[in-house]
Amino acid sequence: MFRILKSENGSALLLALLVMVMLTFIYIGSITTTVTDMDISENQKEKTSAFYIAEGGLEWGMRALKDNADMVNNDSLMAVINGNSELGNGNFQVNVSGSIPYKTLTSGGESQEGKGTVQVMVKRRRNPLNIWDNIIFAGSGQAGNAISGNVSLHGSVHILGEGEPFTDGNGDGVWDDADQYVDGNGNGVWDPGELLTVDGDGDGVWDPAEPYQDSNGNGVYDGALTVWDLAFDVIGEAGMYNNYEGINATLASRLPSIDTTTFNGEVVSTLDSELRVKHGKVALSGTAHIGFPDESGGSPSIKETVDGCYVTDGWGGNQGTASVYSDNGTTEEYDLGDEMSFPTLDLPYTDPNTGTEYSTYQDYLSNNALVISGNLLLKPGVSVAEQSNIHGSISMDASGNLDIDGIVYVNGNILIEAGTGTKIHTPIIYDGKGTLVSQGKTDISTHVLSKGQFCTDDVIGFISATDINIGCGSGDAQLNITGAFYAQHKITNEKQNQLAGAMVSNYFQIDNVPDLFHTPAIVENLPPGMPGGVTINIYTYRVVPGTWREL
Amino acid sequence: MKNRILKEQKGISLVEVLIAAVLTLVIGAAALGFYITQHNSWLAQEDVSDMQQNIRVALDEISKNIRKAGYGVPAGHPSILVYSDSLVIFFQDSTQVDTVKYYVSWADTLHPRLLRRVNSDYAWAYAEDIELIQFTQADKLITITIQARESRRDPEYTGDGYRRRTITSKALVRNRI
Repeated sequence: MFRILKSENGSALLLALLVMVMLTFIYIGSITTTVTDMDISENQKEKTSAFYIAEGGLEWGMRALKDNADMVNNDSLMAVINGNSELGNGNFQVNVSGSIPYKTLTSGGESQEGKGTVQVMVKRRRNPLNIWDNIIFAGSGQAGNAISGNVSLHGSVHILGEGEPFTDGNGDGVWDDADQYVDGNGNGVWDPGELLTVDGDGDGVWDPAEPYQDSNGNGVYDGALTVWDLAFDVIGEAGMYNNYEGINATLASRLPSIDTTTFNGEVVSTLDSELRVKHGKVALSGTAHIGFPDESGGSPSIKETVDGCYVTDGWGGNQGTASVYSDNGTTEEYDLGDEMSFPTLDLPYTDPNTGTEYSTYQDYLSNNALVISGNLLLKPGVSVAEQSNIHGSISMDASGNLDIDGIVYVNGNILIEAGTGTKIHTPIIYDGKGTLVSQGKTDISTHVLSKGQFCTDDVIGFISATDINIGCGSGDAQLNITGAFYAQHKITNEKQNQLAGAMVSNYFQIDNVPDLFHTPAIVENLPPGMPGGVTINIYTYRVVPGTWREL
Repeated sequence: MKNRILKEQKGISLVEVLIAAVLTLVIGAAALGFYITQHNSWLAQEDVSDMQQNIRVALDEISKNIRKAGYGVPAGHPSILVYSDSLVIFFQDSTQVDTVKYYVSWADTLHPRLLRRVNSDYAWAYAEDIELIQFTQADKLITITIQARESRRDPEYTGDGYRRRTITSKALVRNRI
């Protein structure tokens, strides 16, 4: 027993053990820290993963709602959404609650070890797509522009900037011009053997240009606007408004009151202005602007900012997005897919009421109208004798009081001129609800105003198979006009006119900053025969602003 | 028997004792040096770990609230105000719009803190030893930069003795701004 105490053998071992135990504690401590850190990282990764899976669930849910916009039952919607709920290394479960139009989507995401829940409220809204719900609806544009020049637009603007339709003979997806050749024998046509200088498809044979529809009537094919083209080029004082700021008394007294909404705690009048550009850029330079910064007060209180901008190809000019005051920012892309198209007079048309088929819409108009041969002149001081049939009627006295009903189809041009002498500023005051269709151009060089309230009491429409020229005569002053305008080719405006109503054309050439005021009531009170007047109802879901949260 | 042990002359001589003492000292000193080095590195590791955790917590909290910014606030009311060194977030969970502000306070010069103030309440320290927060905004995308330092100065570490970590992250405001 004492021998063990006495023995010195093994003390080194003891010492070594002591040191090792000490070190082991340190290492354990340090490893624990590392392991804890790794666990934290792992948890964070799992949590982040679950969060994004939950967000993915929301996106998936939104898509399912949009795809099944007619479905209102929550259980059915959930069955659709959660039918395929695997995502990444986890899965989501989306709960749909609430009833139309508001629904709440709550998406729970689960990764292997994490959970996350996000929630957003969406609103199903009837999207009544109507081209007349814009102050300007522009089709294919021309020479890289849809709206050229400066204008103050009060209301929504919708620019398609799409290429003109064409027959794609060789199926390459682009329009092909005619091959070029050296006309050796000068007979004006290509003869086999004559040198081809441009041979698009390389087949050694001259090919004609692919047929296209010259929507804007400029004689050349116009392709879709690209990111390099300016769909809407605004400089100077021009821009877009969400209100009737600057309207003169002559127009204001004729227009129905516009909607009000509560914005930033203030009741403001609004035109629900939105800017949509499918192809091409929006360029803002100088003091040009889209909306204005929100301000409180004012009499009447108006909404300064625009409700939204949906521009796919982005912004340009020396201001870019800096002068854009939009409730949804400036990054959203065009959101209506191919739902909206420019109504062309040349396309076949079936009358929904009678089922009669017409080879073109123009044909439909002429067959359902009072037809006047030659030009129609409307000029205060010159009376127009009454003409009528079951489709329409027109007459005007020497004081410029115009009675119009139904569709009046003019084989030639429509010329609306200022009176002479004391009648130089006499407006044409129209009574009734009618449309003037011209097979050629329409020139408007004097005031044209409704007798009663515009749209609801009296409304006039102008349809031109080619151009509408407003205030383009040499002596034209600043005109006051209320009406709905459709020109298949081009609408030109050259004076500081004030115009209320709506305008639809392939191309707009506007100078001298006229004020164009949209009258929302026009959609429900369109003059007879206006193209594209049918409202397409599309149900869609939108996220209700300010309802996203993580639970 | 008892006396034999006491009388025993065998045992440890002075020289032996001295040698043993010297050896023990040398080995002990070496072991202690090793221990101290290890201990310091362990402490440093703990500090670094804490520092990273502080950043993580701050980043998590701020990102989460940036995402939520604008929840329930009335139209036209701002959702978020981004300054270079502070961030103000608005959201409404109940009847009133809450304003949450994040900023760094150097009131305690040894321990700068990330403070979170809700409305006009007392500002609470959300994370310790956060030296710097920076924000930049590109539309709805907010870039957050957070710099933290160790809670204790390490005299053996270069410079002013504080280890630092800087992390940059981005968060997207989901609601309108």
